[in-house]
Amino acid sequence: MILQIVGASILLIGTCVCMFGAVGLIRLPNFFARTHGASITDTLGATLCLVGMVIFTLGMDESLKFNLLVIVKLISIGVFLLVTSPIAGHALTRAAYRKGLGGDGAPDLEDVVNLPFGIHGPADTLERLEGGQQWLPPAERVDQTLPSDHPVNNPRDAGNTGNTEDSSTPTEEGEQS
Amino acid sequence: MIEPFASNLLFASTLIVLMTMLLAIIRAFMGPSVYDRILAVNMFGTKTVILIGVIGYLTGRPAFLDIALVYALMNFITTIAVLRYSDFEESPEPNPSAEQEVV
Repeated sequence: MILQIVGASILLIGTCVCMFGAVGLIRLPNFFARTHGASITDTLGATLCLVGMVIFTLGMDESLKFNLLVIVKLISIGVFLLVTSPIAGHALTRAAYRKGLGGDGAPDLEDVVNLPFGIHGPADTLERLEGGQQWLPPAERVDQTLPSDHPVNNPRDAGNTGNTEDSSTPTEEGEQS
Repeated sequence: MIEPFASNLLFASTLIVLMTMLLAIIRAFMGPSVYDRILAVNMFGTKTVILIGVIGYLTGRPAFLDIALVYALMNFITTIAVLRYSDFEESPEPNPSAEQEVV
């Protein structure tokens, strides 16, 4: 009997995880972020629910043969869900990326390569990394794709001009007074 | 025999799954792109599998799990089929018979 309560509790936790995934599906701003919410639901939530059902079945008063049959069904449902829902999510995300939901600056899917540490990125990232690019603090980084006089590449100048203007006006006021 | 407290927990989880399905349906109706709708419908199908299982336990008939298994199979095939349809809708592959007709 205690097994029934434990199983139902785990089932309740699994459904709560599904609920959080659904809230993410509603509230997240981006299609790919929403994919994250739905995938949590399909893997962790469904697995917890099925584990709870297995423990619940162990606490039922039926014959051992019947319980084993039910557990085999539950495990087959779990294996099938764990195999198919990541595949479906991957196919969906890939199709959406091909259609251009990644935005204007997203590289083509054929240009994306495997980078170290399991990261995927544009193909020239590896060349830039292997070309001995030095680490720079964020204020000194230069974006090669933009012209050199772009304000993004000259944050120090913009900051200096702003500072001089701000600092000059109070001093003038101070001199006047 | 099902413990009364465990029965209450099962009922609560049924309600939570129903609320989850409601949220998924809301996203399916208001999704900006087709892919949001497909994602929401896929999640709705997975939640249907869990709901059928829980209701089977709640009514004392675990044989409902067969229906849940069929639903899981159908859900995957539906998603892939709809994806293929929406891919070919705008960029159809060249059909060799159609090319022959043109020539």
